Amino acid sequence: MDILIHCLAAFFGCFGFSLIFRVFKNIHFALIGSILGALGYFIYVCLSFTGNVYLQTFVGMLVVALLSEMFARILKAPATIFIIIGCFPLVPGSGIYNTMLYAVQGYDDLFISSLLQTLGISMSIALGILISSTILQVYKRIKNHEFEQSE
Amino acid sequence: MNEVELLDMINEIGYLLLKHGAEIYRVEESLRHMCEAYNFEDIEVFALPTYFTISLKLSDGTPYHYSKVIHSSHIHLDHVHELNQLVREMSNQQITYKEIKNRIDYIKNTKLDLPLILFGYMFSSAMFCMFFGGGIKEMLVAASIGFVLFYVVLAMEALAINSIVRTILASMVIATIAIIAYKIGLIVKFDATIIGCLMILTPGIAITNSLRDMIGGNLVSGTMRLVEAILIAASIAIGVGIVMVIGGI
Repeated sequence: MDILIHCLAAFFGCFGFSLIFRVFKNIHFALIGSILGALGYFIYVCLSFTGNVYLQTFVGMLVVALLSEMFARILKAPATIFIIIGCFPLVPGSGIYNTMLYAVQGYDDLFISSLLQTLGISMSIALGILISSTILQVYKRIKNHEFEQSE
Repeated sequence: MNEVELLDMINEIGYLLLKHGAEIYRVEESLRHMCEAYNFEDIEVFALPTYFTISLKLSDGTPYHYSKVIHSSHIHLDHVHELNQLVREMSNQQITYKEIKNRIDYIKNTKLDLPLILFGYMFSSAMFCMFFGGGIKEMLVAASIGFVLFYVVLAMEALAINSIVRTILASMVIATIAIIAYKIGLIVKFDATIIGCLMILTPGIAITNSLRDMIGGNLVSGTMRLVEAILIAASIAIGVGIVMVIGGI
């Protein structure tokens, strides 16, 4: 039940973000991006049995980014629109906050571990986007037979 | 329509793409494809997040060069999509000059729908507050923080304050209101409220675009945007931290 509420909150939160980033006319883009955001968080929660927050974030972001690229091909729109909207539930906002809280309260060991975790989560997000975009780039090259000559 | 007028429109499209937050590789590829479609030769395009330059040869062999600095950028994903479609149609030469001009004018003259953006601020702060475990009261406070934040950001954009100070001040506003509401007993979970509102400031766009630029081979632009992302995250932490120290949390 909690998961459902969180996914719904993620969906509506992402929809609000799409308004902030000025998606007014193409509401279907906003809806797809929000659904991807909620899906990314759902995958994140489903993988919590692994106990590895980096893996959870990475797989969630990878799925969001791959589906974004797919929808970008179908709807002939830039893939960034969907990735920008869909990445937000996975962005470590609470990590930034907790890091600062521990720093202010003087818990040095918690501060360092929280800082490292925030950085690690950001890198997992980065890796997810990196791998999915590279896969699509290679796929496009193979499909169009654009092979570089080796020199 | 002569060649220089056509090139003016192509430059205008490049300027608008950069201004509205397209990735660098998209800007470079769009400009190159459009120039190729209209049979210019020796085309070189280079873009940075705040600058782009085109040089090419006109059909009579005259060299042509154009460069432009972008002073302020505002993310506008609708326009990125519209420009992308326009570039696609121009690259396939399915479009008349008059229509290109109309579409560019339309994009330049569209007024922002501010009430809808205000609604976005309030709605997403409230929803992300719920996402991080806030109840009804926390959501209401988060929505009012979103309301204040919208006008604060608008005012700072009008005054052209740089993005680091802007983020520090905005996160200070968020934390101040949340902590005051906590002190007078309005809310219990002030951390959920603060985090929910902070999500608006987090550099999701900078991270996404920086990585996509790096994959496209633009290491310089990617690094610029990555540094921007790190600075914004640090500014959020500084802003919240200052208020926490003062508020004694």
